[in-house]
Amino acid sequence: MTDSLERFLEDLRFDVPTGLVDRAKAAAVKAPVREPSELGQTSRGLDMTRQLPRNPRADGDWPMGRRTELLAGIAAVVLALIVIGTFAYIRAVATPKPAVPALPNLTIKQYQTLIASDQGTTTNNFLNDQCDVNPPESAACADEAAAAIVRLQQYLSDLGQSRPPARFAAIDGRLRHHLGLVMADLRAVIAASKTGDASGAATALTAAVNERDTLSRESSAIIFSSQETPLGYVGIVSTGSSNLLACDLCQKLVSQTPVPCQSTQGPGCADGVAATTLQVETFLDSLVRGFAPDSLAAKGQRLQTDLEAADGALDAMSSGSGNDQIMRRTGLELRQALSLVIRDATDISRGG
Amino acid sequence: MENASTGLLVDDRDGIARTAPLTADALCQTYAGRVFKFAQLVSTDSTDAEDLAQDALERALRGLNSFNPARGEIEGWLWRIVVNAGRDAGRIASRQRLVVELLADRWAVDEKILDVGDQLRTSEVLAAVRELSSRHRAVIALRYGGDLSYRQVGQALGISEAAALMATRRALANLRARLSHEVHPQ
Repeated sequence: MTDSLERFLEDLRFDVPTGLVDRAKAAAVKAPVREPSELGQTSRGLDMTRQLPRNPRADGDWPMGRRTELLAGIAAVVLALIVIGTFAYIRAVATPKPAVPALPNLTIKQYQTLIASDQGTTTNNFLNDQCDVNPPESAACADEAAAAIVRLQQYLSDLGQSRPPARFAAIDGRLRHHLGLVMADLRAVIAASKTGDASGAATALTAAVNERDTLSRESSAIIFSSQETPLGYVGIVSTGSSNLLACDLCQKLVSQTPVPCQSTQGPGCADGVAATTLQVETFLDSLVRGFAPDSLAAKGQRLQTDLEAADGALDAMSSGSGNDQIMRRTGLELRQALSLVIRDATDISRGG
Repeated sequence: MENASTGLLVDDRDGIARTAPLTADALCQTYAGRVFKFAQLVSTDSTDAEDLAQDALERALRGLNSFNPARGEIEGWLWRIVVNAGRDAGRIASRQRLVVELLADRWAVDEKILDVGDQLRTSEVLAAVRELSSRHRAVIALRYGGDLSYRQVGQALGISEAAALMATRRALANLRARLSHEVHPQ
C-alpha cells in the first residue's frame, strides 16, 4: 500500500542544475573509452606502411648504370619538390586552426580546493603586508609587487586550466576580472616607484589592496560555499537588499534623470558606479557563499540573474564613460536590473 | 519513452513505434532527472549530490558504447554504474557492510508509525532522508529517486528482492518516525 510519505517521495522533483549534463558530456568526451576500431585503424596504418611495394631492383642485386642513376636522382629531386610544393600549398590554403585542447570540467570540491590553494599563495600572502612606497624602501616594495604579480598570474593561469562548475561560472568570471585589475594596480605601483612618484605609488597600492580584498571575499565565498537553510537564505537576501537600498551613492546613481552618468554629470558618476558595483558584487558573493535551499532555488536563481545583469551594466558603464549613447543604454539596463533585484529580494523575504 | 527489454528508446507518441540507438543526448534526456533525484536523496548535501550526479552521468556516457542491449536491460546497466559511483563517493555502503546492516535491521524494533499527512515539505523530507543511515538512504534513493522496482533495487545493491523490500520498509518507517517527530514535536 502506498501511503502519503511514499507518494510524496515519488512526486519529489529536483531541477537538474544548469550545466550539469553538459559538464558530464564534456568530461565523457574528453576521456572516452578507447574503441577497438580506433586501435584497428592505427594498426592498419602501420601495416600499410609495412606493406608498401618495394622495388626489387633496389635490393642491390641488380646494380644500375651511371645514366640510369642520374635520371633516377633527377626524378627523385623533382618528385620531392612536387611533394614539398603541394604540402606548402595545402598548408597555405587550408590554414588549419590550431588544436585547442578541451578544458577539464572540475567538480565543486575540486574547484574549491583549487581556489583555496591559490588563495593561500596570493591574497593571503599579498606583498607580505610590508610595502613602503617612500624611497629608499620603495625599491623593495616594487620587488614585492613584482613577486606578487607572478603569484597572481599563476592563480589566473590555474583558473584557465579548467572549467568551473556551473554554480561558480559567474563568480569565476568576476574572479578573473579582479585578478587582472589587481595585477594592473601592482604594475602601476612598480612604474610609479621607478620614477620616484611616491604619491602615484601610494594611490596604486591602495587600489591594489582594495582589489585584493575583493579577491579575498570572492575566493572565500567559493571555498566556504554551502547550502543555506530557508531562514538563513532569507537573512542573506534581506541583508544584501538592505545594504543596496541604504547605499546613498547607489541611490544617487540610479535616481538620476533622465539616465545616469552622461558626460554632463561630472566625475561623481565614477564613485556611484564603484559604490554600486561593490554592493552588487558583495551581494552576489554572499549568494555564492550561502546558496539557496532547494525550496528557494528558482527564486534564488532569478535574483542572481538580475544581480549579474546589474553587474554587467555597471561594468559597461565603467568602461564606456564619455560615450553618452552607451551610458544611456547601460544606465537604463542598470535601473531595470536593480529594480528587478529589489523585487526578487522582496519576493524571497516574503515567501521564504 | 524507453523500452526496457531492448534498451532502446522508443518514440510512440504518435502511436507508431520506432526504435533508435541510445545516444548520449537520449540517455541524458531520459535519465538525468532520475539520476539527480537519486543523488539528492543518497547524498548528505546538495553539493555532494551535484558532484555525484555529474560523475555518474559521465561514467554512463563514457561506457555508452560498451552497452549491449542483448546482454541485459539498460536500467540494470545504468543503475549499476550509478550505484558504483555512489559507492566510490562513499554515499552507499559497501556490500559487506550492507549485509551487516541488513542483519541489524532484522532485530530492530519497529518504529511507531504516525501520520505525517500533508504537512510535508521538500526541504524537511530531504533533511530527514539525509539523516538516515547510508543503507536506508541507498534504498530510498534507488526506490523513489531512481524509481526502481524492489527487484531492481536488490540487483543494484547485490541483495535479494525480499531484502530490498524489507530494507525499504524499514527505511520508510525510520523516515516517517523522524518526520513525525518534527511534525508532532513532543
